[in-house]
Amino acid sequence: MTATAGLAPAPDGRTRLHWETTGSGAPVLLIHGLGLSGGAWWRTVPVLARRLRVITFDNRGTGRSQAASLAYTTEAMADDAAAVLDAAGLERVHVYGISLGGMIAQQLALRHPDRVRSLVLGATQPGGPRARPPDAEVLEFLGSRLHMQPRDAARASIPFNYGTRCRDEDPERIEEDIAQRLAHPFSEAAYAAQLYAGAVHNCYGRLDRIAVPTLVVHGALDRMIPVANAHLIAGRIPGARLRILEDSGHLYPTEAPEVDVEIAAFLQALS
Amino acid sequence: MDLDQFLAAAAACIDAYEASIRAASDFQFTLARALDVEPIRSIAATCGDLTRDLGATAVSSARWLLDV
Repeated sequence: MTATAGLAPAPDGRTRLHWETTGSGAPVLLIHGLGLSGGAWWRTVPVLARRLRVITFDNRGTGRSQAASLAYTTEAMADDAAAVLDAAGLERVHVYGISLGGMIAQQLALRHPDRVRSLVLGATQPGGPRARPPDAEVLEFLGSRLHMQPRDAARASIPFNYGTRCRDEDPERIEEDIAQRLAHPFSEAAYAAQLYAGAVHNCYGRLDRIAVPTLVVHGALDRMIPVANAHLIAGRIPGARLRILEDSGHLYPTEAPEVDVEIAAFLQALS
Repeated sequence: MDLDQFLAAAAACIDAYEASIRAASDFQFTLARALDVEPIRSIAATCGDLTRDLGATAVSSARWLLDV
């Protein structure tokens, strides 16, 4: 019988990663971003799970996963993702990562190329000197967020995570996101460690080694990770497709949920 | 040797260094899992973590500086 949830041991034998799976079909591993647990995929999972087997997990230090190390790197977090695949008994999967999760997905494709069938890289950046950093206001927020209460941090992040259309027309969707986020708080230490992982991430020079079909998705109004980074990634990975969402910011699954249908179609066509 | 050749050689060196870091950390993790005796297990796992994460940071910095 196939397990539907569990705790996967990371390579160090001490870090434990909570994972869950739902649906049936070709497997797709979802990797979420900074400070968010696997539960943050709550909008996307039901769409993908109609035709695919969806695996989510809590990155080290978030949700029900435990981390033993003080600093994280996207290399370590990619190895965590491979450990989740081992625990779920999966050899090769589609991989969809958003934000920091997209950086981890890049590392997974480079460190464990035999485990990755295709890539969806959402709202992410390649690292290296050519990557476009966020503006000064965003950087200041990311630093100050370390010392904020979770509720205050969630509120303060709204202008950076969402485009103006969503803030004006769909504030209830933002409230739903915040409620989900507050249900899975994370420690300051884990946030700082994940921030470090994103800061030292650097795959740009090696992206041309990625040989699987790749879809790059990005909101044109993204302030956390400027859209120029999507163009850099798509220009570097051979044959990568680029999908820019004109009215969306960083958390585009909330702002443009229809893109989940497109992503499901992209993955299904390859399955 | 022109600049392109230098950068290609530097990138190859960094790749080799990264592979050695990975081999070293994998060995330490294997040791940690095999030796189910404390504190040896914890020491080996911590060394593996440090080797991988400090090495990854060094490799990232070198690639950043050389833009490779």
